[in-house]
Amino acid sequence: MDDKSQNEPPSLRYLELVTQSQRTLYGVLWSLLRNANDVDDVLQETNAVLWQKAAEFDTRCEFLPWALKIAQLQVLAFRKRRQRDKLVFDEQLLTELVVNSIRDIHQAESRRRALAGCLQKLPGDHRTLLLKRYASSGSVNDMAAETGRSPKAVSEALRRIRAALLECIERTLAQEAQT
Amino acid sequence: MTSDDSLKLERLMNQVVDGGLSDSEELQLETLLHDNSTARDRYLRFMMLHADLLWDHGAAASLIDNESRTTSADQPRDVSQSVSLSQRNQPWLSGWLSPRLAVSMALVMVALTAWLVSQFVRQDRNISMARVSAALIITLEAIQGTAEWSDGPQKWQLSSGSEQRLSAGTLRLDGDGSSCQLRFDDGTRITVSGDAEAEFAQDSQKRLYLRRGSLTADVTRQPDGQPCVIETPTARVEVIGTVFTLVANSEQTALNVERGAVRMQRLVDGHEVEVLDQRRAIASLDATAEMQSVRVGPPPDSWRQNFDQPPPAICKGTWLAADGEQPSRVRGVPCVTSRRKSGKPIVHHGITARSGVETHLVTLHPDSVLRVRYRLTNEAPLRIMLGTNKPGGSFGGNFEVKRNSQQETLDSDGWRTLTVPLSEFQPLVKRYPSPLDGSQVSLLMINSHEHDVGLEVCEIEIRSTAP
Repeated sequence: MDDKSQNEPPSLRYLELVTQSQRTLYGVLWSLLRNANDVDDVLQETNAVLWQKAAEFDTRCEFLPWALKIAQLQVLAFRKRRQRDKLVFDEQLLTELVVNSIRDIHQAESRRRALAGCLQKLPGDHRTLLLKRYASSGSVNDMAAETGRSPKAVSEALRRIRAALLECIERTLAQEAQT
Repeated sequence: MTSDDSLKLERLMNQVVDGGLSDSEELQLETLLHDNSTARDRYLRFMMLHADLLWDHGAAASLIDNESRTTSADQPRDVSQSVSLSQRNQPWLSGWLSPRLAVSMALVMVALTAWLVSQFVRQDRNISMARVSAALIITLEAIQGTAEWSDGPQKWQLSSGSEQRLSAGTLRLDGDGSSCQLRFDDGTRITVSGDAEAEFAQDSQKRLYLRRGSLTADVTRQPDGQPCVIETPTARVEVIGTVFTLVANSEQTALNVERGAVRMQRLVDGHEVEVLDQRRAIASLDATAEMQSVRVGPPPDSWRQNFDQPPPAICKGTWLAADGEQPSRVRGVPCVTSRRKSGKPIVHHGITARSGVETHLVTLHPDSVLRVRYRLTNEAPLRIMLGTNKPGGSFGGNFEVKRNSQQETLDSDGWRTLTVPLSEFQPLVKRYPSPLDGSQVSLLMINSHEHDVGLEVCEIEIRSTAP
């Protein structure tokens, strides 16, 4: 390994890789932490470490698995700080989830492309409901009050829409693989 | 995964993102994810969908909110306001970069995005095509214990007997005493042993992923520029032609090279080390740990384990402290050693001692003798299995001996001493007819067959009888 100074600014290529990895890191951290504030915090800490370790990265290697491992360590550190909260999975499960994420890492971009197509295929009222949930960051209770439906009915509708999207993504990927 | 579990998982996942879980629901979710890899995959896909929707639509909304706020106040958008948007949408830019530098970097990165996306899309397509290839790439040569092969959605139990040709897929071995030997068409042999999971693929080069367990590879000379690549959760090795063993779990990987040279990379930071003949290196998740190739001598010729203290992590069994007349001891626990054709596990009861990744238990010689001090609640045959590695570290075969407990004299204190010379152990894998002089024991199992007969062990010893 090269003994480069940590003060040396990262290469443009490294910055590209860090940028490119953000969305995947964000997704994996969501899986591990399940809380928006925690995800933002740990993503920032992960990025700080990625910056510090820029000189250590071997550009012949795949970046995402390396970045995910660093993210995993940050989650473990976070977990240690928050151990009493019972809000974070145990270490073994965290590791299993990271291992599965690394295994499927190359599918992430394909899944996102498929999601974009599947969103267009949703009935209009379903798409509106989903975007209201995500675009306004509104809680189910807020949405229920706004639309005059019960919170349970809104939750059920969102559940069905997500299930339909996941099924559509799988179907799209299977079709792509056949062609 | 049962349909009940499937519905439960879906309900819990939606509650996680829409409302939160109670303590008992948290526990239910953790249990489901712990127990089932399909559940973990479905959970990850669900969460990635949720995160993608948040990333695309949540970010857009906050941008609109901020823009409208700025516009309504009729203020010019200066750099600091732009940075506040960047900080909201790209958390990684905040906290450790100056605002101006962050904005400059963001502009540079936008300019590069189109090129990067095209590169990644092309790369993904190539990988997808490799994955759907159904060509037969590997031959199953031998198997001991229970092994399952999955090829995409299909999975089936592998059976011993005639050789079977297999396409790219995942091998899962159940139980510490299981092993499976496979051969690529160029003669490269892979032996996977223990409670293990490994994926096999081949496009222009061989690609293996060892999730857990032990893997010995005897790799024939590979074409220039197309090394055999083996990854684990913590390390990556590229091999041209050599004999070596990898032992991996989710936290670390030990590489032991018997012949040739292997370059191992630690995934957490990309650090690399070259490991030569008869040397070993360990890659873990800890980037601060020194990673070096070290020469490791053979384990001692004698090994003795009593249970005056709770046993080390290498031992499986329930520890019982000395109580009046009885010494400290370990009681047998259930362990899966194989499965029936129906998939139902065959559960034995016994104790296990397994070496750690850094060293094996003991070196075997032709005059080595195993001695076990034990007692039973009910008389029953016992099976003792030794898992061995060759002197160089590669898989050396599993050997067993069966003894009826009534063959040993019952002492006045209710305990018996079982003594078995190494020569009495029979091979479980034909390719390894007997332990070589200098072989190393990596696993010792003592168990009854299927029924719990109250096996308790207070001392185990393997030693060479030579003066």
